[in-house]
Amino acid sequence: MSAVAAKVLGDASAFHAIFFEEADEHLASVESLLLRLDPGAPDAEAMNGIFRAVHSIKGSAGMLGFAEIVSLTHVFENLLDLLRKGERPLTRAEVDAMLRAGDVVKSQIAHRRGTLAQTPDRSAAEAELRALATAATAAPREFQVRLGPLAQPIADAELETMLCGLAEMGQVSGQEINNIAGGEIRFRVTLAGAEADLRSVLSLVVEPSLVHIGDAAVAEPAPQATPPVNDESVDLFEAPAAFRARRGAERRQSPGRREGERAANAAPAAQGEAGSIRVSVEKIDRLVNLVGELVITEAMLAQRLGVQTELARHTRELQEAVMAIRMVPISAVFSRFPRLVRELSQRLGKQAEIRLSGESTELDRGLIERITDPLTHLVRNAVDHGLEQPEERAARGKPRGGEIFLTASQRGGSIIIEVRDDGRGLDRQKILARAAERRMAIAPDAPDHEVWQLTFEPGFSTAETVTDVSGRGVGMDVVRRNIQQLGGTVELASSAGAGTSVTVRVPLTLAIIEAMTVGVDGETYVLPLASVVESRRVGAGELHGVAGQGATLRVRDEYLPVRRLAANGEIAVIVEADGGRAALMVDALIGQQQVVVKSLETNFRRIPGISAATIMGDGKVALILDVPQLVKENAAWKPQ
Amino acid sequence: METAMKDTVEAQGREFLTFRLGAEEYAIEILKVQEIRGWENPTAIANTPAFIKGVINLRGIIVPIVDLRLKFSLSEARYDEFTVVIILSVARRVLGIVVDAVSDVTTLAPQQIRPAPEFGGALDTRFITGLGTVGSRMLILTDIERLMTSRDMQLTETQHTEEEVQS
Repeated sequence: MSAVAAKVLGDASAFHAIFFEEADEHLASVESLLLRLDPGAPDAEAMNGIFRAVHSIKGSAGMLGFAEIVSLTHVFENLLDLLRKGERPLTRAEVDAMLRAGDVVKSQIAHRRGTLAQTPDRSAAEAELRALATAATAAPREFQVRLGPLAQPIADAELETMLCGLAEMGQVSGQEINNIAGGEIRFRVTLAGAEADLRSVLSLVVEPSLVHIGDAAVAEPAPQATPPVNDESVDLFEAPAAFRARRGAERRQSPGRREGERAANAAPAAQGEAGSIRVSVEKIDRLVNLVGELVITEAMLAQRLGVQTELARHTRELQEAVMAIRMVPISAVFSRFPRLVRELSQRLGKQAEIRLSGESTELDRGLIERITDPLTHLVRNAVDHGLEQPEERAARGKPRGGEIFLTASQRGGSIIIEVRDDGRGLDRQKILARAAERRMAIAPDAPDHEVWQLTFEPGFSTAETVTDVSGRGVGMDVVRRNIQQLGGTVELASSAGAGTSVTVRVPLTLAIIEAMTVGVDGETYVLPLASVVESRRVGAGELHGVAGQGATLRVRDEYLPVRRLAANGEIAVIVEADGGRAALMVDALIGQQQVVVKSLETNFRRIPGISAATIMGDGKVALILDVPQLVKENAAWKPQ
Repeated sequence: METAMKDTVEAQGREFLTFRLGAEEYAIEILKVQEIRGWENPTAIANTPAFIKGVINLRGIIVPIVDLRLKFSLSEARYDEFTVVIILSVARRVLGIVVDAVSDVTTLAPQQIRPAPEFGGALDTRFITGLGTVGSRMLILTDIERLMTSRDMQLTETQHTEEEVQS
């Protein structure tokens, strides 16, 4: 069939591209659904969602003749089918196996795409899935069933029907019936079905909470001898039952949180239902450019005619709408972290749960790509350095499992992302000691935030051992640099024993910034408004020369380095970046406006002291000054 | 099929845009030329050599402008209504060059093109692919892509390192 399909489709490269993209999306949703699954009480909708995603990958792969993908997804699908029909209980083993299988499919797709040289080996993943799938059906299991303590005796007829029903499903033995109020009914039953089936049959007769099921192999060695004390099944029975019991208890305790989680789960599904089309990024970028042009043309027209028209409002609204197309929910980045935390904590022998919130916060897709690495680093840090080992946590009276909170929110024109853990917090003494070792200048009684600032220095790491996770000291300085390149900031807060929090603040979009325009020697320059502290007129006597060092300007109690942008400028714009300040001397302040950022590097190259360019209302190009660089070095600006 | 097309092109010759720079006439492949525009004052950029006049807004694209007259110190660089800018599309970049005057578009057959001897012109022989003859005119065939991405032009970053490795 696939050969025919391939022939009908002719040149399938366009279909390939669509398939790759869709498969990526399906795999991402499979992964996130798997990670959200609660083994023991899997959400039927989630199971169906996973099944559908795997099924559609298989279908499309078949059409395109990708036999190896079909083969693996087929086995994958088989296991999923058993799981969703409840013919096999879902445990961590299945989830892990499916996650691994998803990875193999991912690399198969990478291989087909041409980004991976060798064909990925699928045999191990297939064997694993197959083993799990057949284990369910082939070997009938013996279950140890205990019903009770009964509130009241079960009607004999009902009891009889139940036992007969079970006898039809499998083999019932070792009955021990104490059918009185407060009594218990025990028996063993051997059947091929899943535990869930058994449970549902039993629930017809007794309260579901009174049904206790365990594997006979691990059940009490002598059931008669052990009087039922409370609910020993929690301790004795194997993982699924224990887990279920625990989750059940949790659910009863905190219905609010569960509901919150459910709402969060429902949201992506609802989004998926909404109609959408796939558009290439180039088309959108072209649209953004064209609208940018329109805005400029409109401004020129308004200037020439000297009248305000409705056109101005329409174009601005159009621009906003077009920019909104580029916005992507931050869940695109966040969705990778549950997996990361799960694997990292397993590797490090830690217990960690990640809690996401604000995943629907939107930001520019250009930013999404560039924020992924720094955030990954912060999350790794939180697991590796932040969280303690379970024993250590228990000794400190904390729950053994640590929590990592990842939240995003929008505040004005910024997106704020916080990575917080409830771990040990930063060690002030250790950082100071390390600083002394590296001969960094810091007062021993410096305030905390200054001490934390040291961790952003290149090569600074207090980790005792270098693991493959982190500790090489190439961390925080790179994080900070990456974030700063996006025009953002990073802040650290920590309290000993209670955890660390890193707050990243980035602008909503890279494409448009709030700007202050200044006049320098007849040219217009643009300063990002976020970096401007204040501006004021400066008298000739206020600038003090320092031999060989240029001039300084005293602003309140601080001497700031002066950068003479304009030869005879008398207005100082005080700017701030990287915690440093400088006074830029300009001829005039022109105004404040939003500008569309255009790269100089597209057709040209990087220019020291200039970060990008923009097009002003009159159609002329204005350059955007690179404030961090101007603050850092005097040499960045040499007037012509 | 491709070779057949190439053959006809070879036989019929290739098209060049010719322009004057000082006393000499240069020819560049027409396919590298995007358009020709009048002069408009670019936005000057500090920290760049004088022959980089700055950047202009070409329908929303930021395009650097290089004055080849200044670069090769050939003639007095005046900017008026007769000054023309050739917008090039080379090495996936768009950039503009200022020359003395644009002459015409000429088709050169292979037999009209001779290899360039070593000679002391303004332009380094690295950038000259040959000499073309049209009647009494001598055209210096220029590899404009190589010239514009060369290190002396200071227009790109990538070529820098490549050239540095070579030298």
